[in-house]
Amino acid sequence: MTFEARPSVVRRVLLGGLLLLMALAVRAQEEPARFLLERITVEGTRPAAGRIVAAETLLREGETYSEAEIGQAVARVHRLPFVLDADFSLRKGSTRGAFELLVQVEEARRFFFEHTVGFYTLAEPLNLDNSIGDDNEWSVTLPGVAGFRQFIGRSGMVFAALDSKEGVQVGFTRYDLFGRGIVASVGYSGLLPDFCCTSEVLPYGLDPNFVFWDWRDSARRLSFEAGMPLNATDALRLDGSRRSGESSGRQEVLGRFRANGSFFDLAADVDVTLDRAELKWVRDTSDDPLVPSRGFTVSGGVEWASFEAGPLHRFRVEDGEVIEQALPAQRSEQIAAVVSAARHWSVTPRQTVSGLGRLSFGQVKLHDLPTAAGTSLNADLDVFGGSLALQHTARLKQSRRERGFSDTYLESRIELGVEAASPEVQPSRAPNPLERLELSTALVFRSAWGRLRIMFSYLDVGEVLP
Amino acid sequence: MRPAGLVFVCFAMVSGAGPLCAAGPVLQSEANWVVLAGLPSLLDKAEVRKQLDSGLTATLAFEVRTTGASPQKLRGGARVDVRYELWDEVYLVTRLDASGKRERLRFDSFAQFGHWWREARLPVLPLPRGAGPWQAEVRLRVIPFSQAEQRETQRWLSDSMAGTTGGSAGAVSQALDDQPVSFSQVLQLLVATSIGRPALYEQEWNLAFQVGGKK
Repeated sequence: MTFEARPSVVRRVLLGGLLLLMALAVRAQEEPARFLLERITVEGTRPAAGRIVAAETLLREGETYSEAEIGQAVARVHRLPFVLDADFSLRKGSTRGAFELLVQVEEARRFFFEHTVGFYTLAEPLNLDNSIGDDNEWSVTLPGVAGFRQFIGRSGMVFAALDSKEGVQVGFTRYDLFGRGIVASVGYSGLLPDFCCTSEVLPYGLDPNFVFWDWRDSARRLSFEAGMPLNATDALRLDGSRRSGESSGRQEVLGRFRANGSFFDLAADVDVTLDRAELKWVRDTSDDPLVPSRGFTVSGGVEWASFEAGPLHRFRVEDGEVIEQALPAQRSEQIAAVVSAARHWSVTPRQTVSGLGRLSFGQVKLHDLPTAAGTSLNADLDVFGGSLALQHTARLKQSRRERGFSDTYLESRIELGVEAASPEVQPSRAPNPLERLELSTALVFRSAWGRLRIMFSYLDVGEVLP
Repeated sequence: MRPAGLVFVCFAMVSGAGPLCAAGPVLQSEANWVVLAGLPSLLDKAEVRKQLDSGLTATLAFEVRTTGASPQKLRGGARVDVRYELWDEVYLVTRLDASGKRERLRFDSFAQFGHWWREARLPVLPLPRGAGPWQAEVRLRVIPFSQAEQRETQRWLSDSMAGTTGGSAGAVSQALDDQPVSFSQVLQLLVATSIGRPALYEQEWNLAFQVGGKK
């Protein structure tokens, strides 16, 4: 039997072969490129840091890698806490087909600062700042912090900072704990000797008198924070703190200017302790972690707070005579469910409008809460808190340079907040519900060194809503 | 060198009115697609060119979404991946657009690649059914190989360390408490000075285009 190849069959075979060759060529072209890395060079870091960067890439000289594998190395290097930025590029190697991988790293600055110049116009004087007199309806605050951080190994950092309110802060942060991207931080702060004082406003639920406490120079605070990423957008966060130390007194935020009357002080050598803890889930789809222009953030969780003070003394003036009255130790505890949400809309390329809201419902147990009448209140209350805010952010300037970055933006915000306790109690002059209206605008400058904020704010606290 | 990350807006009209911003891109109806044409001349910018020549793939990504009084909300886009092959000295370009078309191209010189870029017409949206004037925001980002993973990393870091305002449930008391330097805020400051370097290059345009009727 003979086989005769007819011209049409030959053409078909040739065409088929050609298509096969093209398909193979296309397949070859579609195969991801691989790179023989003859050498890995890290530039821009101290030698020790350079060795960490090189090791963290998990790439080895003499091996061949795909772009995806080099991309994973980029992600690992970016996660190093001391790396502010890293650029990867290839150079020709010594022989054809071989490459040198160049990693140019910019390290994060070791010194950092934050300073705020805040101008407040007050609807009525608030007893938050000793520099404000009864007639003052404005206030200037100048809080600031300056510190130093030292990176330890591939994923540790210690920092120390001096700030205008907390005194000295030291802390340690560990990144990528257990290789799961977990970040954990612990910190301690304490006032310098003879540096008086630090104060804190108590959550309204813990004391519906709406008060703040001053801590003397023995004040100290232990804090911790931990975050665990669950996936690309979700994370769990846990944080807590304990502030304790000898107190120098308790003041009603709205009390000083509303009536004469009484004030409370602690018995000598008695500590005051304020504990807080929070566990929450966060979903963040926003496009920028610091200045988002799109997307949303929602969170939900549980907050717990507890306050405990030693025996109190009440002083009141009657007919020019100071009368002292002993009161039992105050103790209160609150637990609340909290949800918050923020949504960002890009209205123009440089401007973003954000809507923010927060709701909390909880219960509080009050033991021996001192009242303006000089009695002690014991009660179990339901507490509610809510706030709504609208924020406009305009990016005025943004630059990226060979060394570092900077951006300047203007933030304007209007916010309304309310807190209430039920059944209705009003142990002092603080209203129930307690309301707040704040209008503020702030010019913020940020760079790799720190942040400077100049803020103007109008604040109305008490009975704001008609 | 022009500061990177600079964003500007250019309003343009197509379909007869002509572009008000001559250098910017335009959206045009073409068959079943809205195509983006007149791609901006940014390839020569030093920092962009440096990334295109890095030997690793850099991406030029367009995101398009209808805005304003447009009858319907639509999203689309296109991307162009570029890798300079160091030994062969050629630019390997992969173009992917909203039609799902993937095209692999090879240019022997940067000039050839630049010419293609200027002449390219990228389908970015399916042609809407509603006739009338439409508006769309077009956003171009140059994503160097080294930054492709960066946003994810930043999100991870900020989600884990700082992010939304913490503190106890106090819509009034918490907000009044002037604690700019608490532990949380120091951690946020550490994040703010460690990340957030803006994208290498970003531009946005608000463009108008006409569907049906007047062409």
